[in-house]
Amino acid sequence: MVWNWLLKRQMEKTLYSISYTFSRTLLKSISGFRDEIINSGNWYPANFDKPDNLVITFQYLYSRRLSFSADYTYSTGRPITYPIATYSAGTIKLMYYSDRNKYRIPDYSRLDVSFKISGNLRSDKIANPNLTFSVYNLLGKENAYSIYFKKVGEVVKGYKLSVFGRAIPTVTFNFDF
Amino acid sequence: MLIKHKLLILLTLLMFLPNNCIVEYTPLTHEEAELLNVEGLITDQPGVNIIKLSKSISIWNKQVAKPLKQCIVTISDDLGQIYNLIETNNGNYITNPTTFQGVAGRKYTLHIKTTSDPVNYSYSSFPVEMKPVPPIDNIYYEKKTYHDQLPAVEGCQVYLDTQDPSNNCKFFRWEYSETWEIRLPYNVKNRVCWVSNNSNDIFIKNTSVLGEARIIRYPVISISNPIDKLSIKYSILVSQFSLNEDEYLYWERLKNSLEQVGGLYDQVPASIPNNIFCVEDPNRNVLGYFSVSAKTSRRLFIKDSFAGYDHQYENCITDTITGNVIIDTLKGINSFIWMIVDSSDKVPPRRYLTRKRDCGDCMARGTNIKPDFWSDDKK
Repeated sequence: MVWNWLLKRQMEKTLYSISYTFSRTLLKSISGFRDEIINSGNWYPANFDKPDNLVITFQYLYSRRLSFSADYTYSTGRPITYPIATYSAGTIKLMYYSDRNKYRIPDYSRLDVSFKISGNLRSDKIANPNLTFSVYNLLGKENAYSIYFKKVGEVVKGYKLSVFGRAIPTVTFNFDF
Repeated sequence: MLIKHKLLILLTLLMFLPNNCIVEYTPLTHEEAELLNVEGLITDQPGVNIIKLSKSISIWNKQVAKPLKQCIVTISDDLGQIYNLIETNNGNYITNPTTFQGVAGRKYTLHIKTTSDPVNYSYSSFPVEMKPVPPIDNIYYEKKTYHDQLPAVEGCQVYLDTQDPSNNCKFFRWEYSETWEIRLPYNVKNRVCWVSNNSNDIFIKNTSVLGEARIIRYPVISISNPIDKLSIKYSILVSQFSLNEDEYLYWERLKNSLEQVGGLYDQVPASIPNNIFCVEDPNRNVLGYFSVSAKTSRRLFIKDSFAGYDHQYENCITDTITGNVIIDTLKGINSFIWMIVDSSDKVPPRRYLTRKRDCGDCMARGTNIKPDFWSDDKK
């Protein structure tokens, strides 16, 4: 099931668009065999189920040569199955897990900004250079790439891995010709 | 320096800001992690059968398992008889050996009622039939060379044979308990001991896919450290249990989930369906299994010579004392230091000592009481 909504406005110096998508992917597993029944036969989210997906872009042209743009992405975290308890069967130690995909990892949110400075854009030039200063993930949000669990000594500890866990400034030099 | 240059340097320095890629993360699970865990096995052997009840513990705590006390535990059979179990200690509930002994062919149901929780539930198992078990036909060993150590050592592989011509028992489970004698090469007080070890793996087999219910050369244990176990005398007691299909599938799933190595194609973690449910709330998860099996055992003794270089006690000597010292006055003698070689009659007189408990006192690893079955093989 998908529901899409897009708003785009272009004015004299600014251009912005807001896009929101609501989509759900749910699974259900029932069977005559007891160990093929997942979550007691109820609907549960698929591994890639992302209900909310929001993208906002904004562009401001200060002049022909200088422009500023920002865009913001937000999506709901992916589903995950957590271990929640340990128990033993004789000498064997076992882990008990929650229902499949019952929980979600933290939501994904990211803001990027950039400035673009163009050369003098004279029409008789062979190539037009421009320089872009941008910051990826300006808010420095440590978005979770993966959440995993490891046994450390006697306890199980959870860890969150973030790939771009802070603001990353970039400088790009381009030629248009 | 131009503004441009200063900005570039600042941006470059920003790249080297420290950041943590991996942080500790404790998820918020608003879910009850204290579930009833039942470890119970009843067999057709005389004696007590123990049902152990405990609570699972939250994964983030370093607690030990919580035994569940003051429960009312009963077992009923398909003839309408009800047997009460008595609580001994620490969540263990035992059957009365004078009134209860399992019989193959009967169906048993376990009933539990908790009394010490804020909300007390009753739990019941499905009726489980005790399948008859055939005897172990043969248990034997074959010598084998192990190359994972250098130089290669000669150990052995223990096998068993069993069969069920009536085809009543198609699912088997085994456990073993091994005992071996060790002798320190020194003249110390605790010189001869017996070390024991119990199996903690899952050994199961399904013969319903075979033409006949016949198991030949089932590998029980591979003894690859023969220097220690097989030097003097070794004994293994193998117990064979009958299972019904549901219990076999439970053990098989358990075995698969334990043998995962974390790859892409592993079994997805999920609760393993078992045979105990909560009466008032069928959605409440219960852990563990109510095992009902007939049991038979067979013991094997191994007293043989195995080729290999014995370097177990090579580096025992840690200290040497020369001169005339009364050993018994040494500080810590026989508690953290032991005299292993007494050469006080040689010239010069000297004594060799060790600080390693494994070298000076065999009770570091076992007991100095001979097991009562030790001379059963008359060797």
